[in-house]
Amino acid sequence: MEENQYLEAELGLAKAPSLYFIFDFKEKSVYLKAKGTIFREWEIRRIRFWGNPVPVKSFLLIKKSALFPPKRKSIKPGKSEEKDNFELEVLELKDMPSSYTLSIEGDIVVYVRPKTKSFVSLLRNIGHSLRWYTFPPLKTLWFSLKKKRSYTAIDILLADEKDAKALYWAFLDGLKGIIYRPRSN
Amino acid sequence: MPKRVILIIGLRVLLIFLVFEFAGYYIGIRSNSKWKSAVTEKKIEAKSLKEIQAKNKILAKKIKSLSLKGVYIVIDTANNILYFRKGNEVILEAVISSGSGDILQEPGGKRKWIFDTPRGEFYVKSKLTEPDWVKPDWAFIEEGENIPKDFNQRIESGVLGDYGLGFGEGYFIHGTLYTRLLGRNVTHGCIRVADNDLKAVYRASSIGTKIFIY
Repeated sequence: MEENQYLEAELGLAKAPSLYFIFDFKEKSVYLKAKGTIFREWEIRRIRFWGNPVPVKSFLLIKKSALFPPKRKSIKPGKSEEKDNFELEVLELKDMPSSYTLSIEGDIVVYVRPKTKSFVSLLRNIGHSLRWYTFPPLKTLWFSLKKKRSYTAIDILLADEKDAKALYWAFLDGLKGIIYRPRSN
Repeated sequence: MPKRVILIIGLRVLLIFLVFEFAGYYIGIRSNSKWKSAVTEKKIEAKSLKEIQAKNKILAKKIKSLSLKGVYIVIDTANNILYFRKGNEVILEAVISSGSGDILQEPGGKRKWIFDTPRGEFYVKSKLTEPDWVKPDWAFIEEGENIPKDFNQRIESGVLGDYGLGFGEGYFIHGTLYTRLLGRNVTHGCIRVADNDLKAVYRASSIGTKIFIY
């Protein structure tokens, strides 16, 4: 039944003239697709869930948030840089954050982090784990007191920083997609 | 304030915090268990199961029928690579330059430009050879120059390479003089490609060839 809902949802997205994402927790992958064709795939190394199950239907990515979001440079008219200057200040993949939050409609929050490679990222992941074990329960209680549907938090660990940055780059606000985790999984 | 009082207040705050945490955990774990619990709907009969499986096959077939079979262009703006594909096969891979993401604000004016390459699904709307660049207003503002009233003063030849593929709203896949900057996000939104790669893409594309940019 869930597979049926997943395929129905994907068919709806594939028919539209736009890209869409799929968090496929059965396959432990994130896909960026269009017309049923995979353009980019990210391997998920670890997943944690909190809160209510997510219905299998298409959702909208409302916004991305990070502690240090990338900043665009403002061009000063009349002071354009040398065209061949490699010191250009532009927004590139390396400027993207590797740890961030995706806020998806329906009170769904996806925390994205890369696998620990350095001491700094280890400290950051420890801090995130502390937050994971303290913040969601408090938010769940708050939602219950407000008589709102309990929110869903998903924590995913990607293979490395480059993957995490690339996902941040590719996932624009307003992108639609599916979160798929069959209950039998 | 005596240390003992501070300690008592601290312990009470901690206790209240822990009570809230446990309450949140209790509610959350109950919700969490729904992720793993077996399907609680009434047992699906064998006939219904077969119907669902058959329906799933039809749906999977429908999705597959939408998949791209002819030639199309995929542009990865994060890594600045253009893929020319036919079905699942990559025929050509080219290093490109895409939008810088910079912002230009018109001095004393209301207009603002953000130099991003647009993302999504597009298609080739025009094919040009030796295209001239018709400089938009931002190109003059960026250089600190006055916007000319004479249209002919906007035309600049030889900067867009030998070919141009337009995909709407003034955006093109075109050539470049700045080949050293290929692989970087340096453009005002257009896609710059090296001459040989551009020639191959131009020749293999038609009006209507799909372009996917992410």
